[in-house]
Amino acid sequence: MNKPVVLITGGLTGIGRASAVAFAKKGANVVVGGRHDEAGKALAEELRSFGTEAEFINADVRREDDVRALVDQTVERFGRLDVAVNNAGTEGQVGPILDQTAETYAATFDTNVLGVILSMKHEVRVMQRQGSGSIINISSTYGHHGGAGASVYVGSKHAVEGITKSVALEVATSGIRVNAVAPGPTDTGMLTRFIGASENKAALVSQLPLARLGLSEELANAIVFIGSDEASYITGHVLNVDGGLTN
Amino acid sequence: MTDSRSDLDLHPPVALVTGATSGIGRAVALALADEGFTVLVHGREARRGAETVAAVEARGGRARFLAAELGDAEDVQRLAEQAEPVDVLVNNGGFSWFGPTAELDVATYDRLFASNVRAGYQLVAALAPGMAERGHGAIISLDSMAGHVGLAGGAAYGATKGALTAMTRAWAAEFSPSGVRVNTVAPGPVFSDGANHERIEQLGQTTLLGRGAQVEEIAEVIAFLASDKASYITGALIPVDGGRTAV
Repeated sequence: MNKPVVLITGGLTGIGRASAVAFAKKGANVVVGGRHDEAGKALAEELRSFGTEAEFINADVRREDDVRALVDQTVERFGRLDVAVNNAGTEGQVGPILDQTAETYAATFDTNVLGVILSMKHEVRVMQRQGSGSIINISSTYGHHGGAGASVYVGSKHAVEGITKSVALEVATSGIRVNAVAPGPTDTGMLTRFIGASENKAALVSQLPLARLGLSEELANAIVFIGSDEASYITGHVLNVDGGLTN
Repeated sequence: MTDSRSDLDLHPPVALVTGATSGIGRAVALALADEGFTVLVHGREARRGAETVAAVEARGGRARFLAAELGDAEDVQRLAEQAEPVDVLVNNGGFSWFGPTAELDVATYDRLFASNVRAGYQLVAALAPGMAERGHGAIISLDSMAGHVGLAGGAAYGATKGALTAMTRAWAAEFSPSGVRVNTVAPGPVFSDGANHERIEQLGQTTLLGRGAQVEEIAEVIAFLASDKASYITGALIPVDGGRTAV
């Protein structure tokens, strides 16, 4: 195989962006999906500086037409799709159950759950034809633990893990591996929005065996690993990258 | 501590791999040597140890053989003293016993727990405090699919493997605040030396990927966990079992 072709949704910030950089540094051709043209084009330019080819494609994972086009344009541009990182996600409206509405539910689940389902549908369509591929869904330690005041987000990430395991079963004999990576507290914009004040951050860190927040780059390294042939016998797994939080 | 090496920065880093003269352990020794580690190859027989050391050296790596009987507590203590200080410990050694529960004699049961559990515990007890003092280190212990699914005839063996994962969680809580990462890897069916090929093929059919693993596929995951690429992963159990326990 030539350079692997990697597609990353929600690739403009945080863990998605760090993953795009990590894959590009490893020599992969990278397609970044996102919703902001200017930032997307700048990122693609930055990725090319690592000596690889990269494209930005504007896509909203909540819209099937967008997702279909994202996947098809990736294949048109690079001929195949080897690794897909379904990273696009939102923390939604964090708060007590009493504050949740059909709208807050939809705002979270449309991106975190429907987005993953639509992405996998079109990625699997291409990968089954190839007879190979590796899909990584980004979950959260909240994908298998509860969190007060985060019920909707927690529910959406539990859904991601159930979907991951089910599709892993469906496509294993097609040569496609499907796994999830579950970040713990990672130093990103989402975490800041999630927990607010910096004293909350200190309290959070005090609960972590490694006694520090994870870095996006550390998550990206785990994503690159589980997407690669080095992890050729791992499928249906949720890899915690959480500094020991859920241990 | 009187070992003169203990006051020096370790260049290159040193890894102790138990049971490294065959199968997964040997593949781990080769993989870590390829990553630049000086590998301390533990085994029982000097002749087989020399063979692994020669295989490492043939690839341009560095290795040294250390003999010990893992079932003998004094021998394990001596092994730890000869190895100290190390950056990475891979608790791989031990043996398996499968058969009807009523047919396992007490002496074999004790030997199984001494080799598979107590030896690993002793090595962590002897080597982890030094890692913690130096502020870095990684410990990877070999669990097994048999520690997580009920295999007829695997009660005692499965318990020894699952025990290492229980200990790993506690060790992560104990040592990770000092920068030492502690994880387990749980292989499924593996075509390793001495394994019954037909049985591995049968067990392989029960995995999502529909095949048994090559030893290198396990070793790659261990090498990843030993590396800085896994810098935010601790207290984790990583099945490398073709998806057998995931769904």
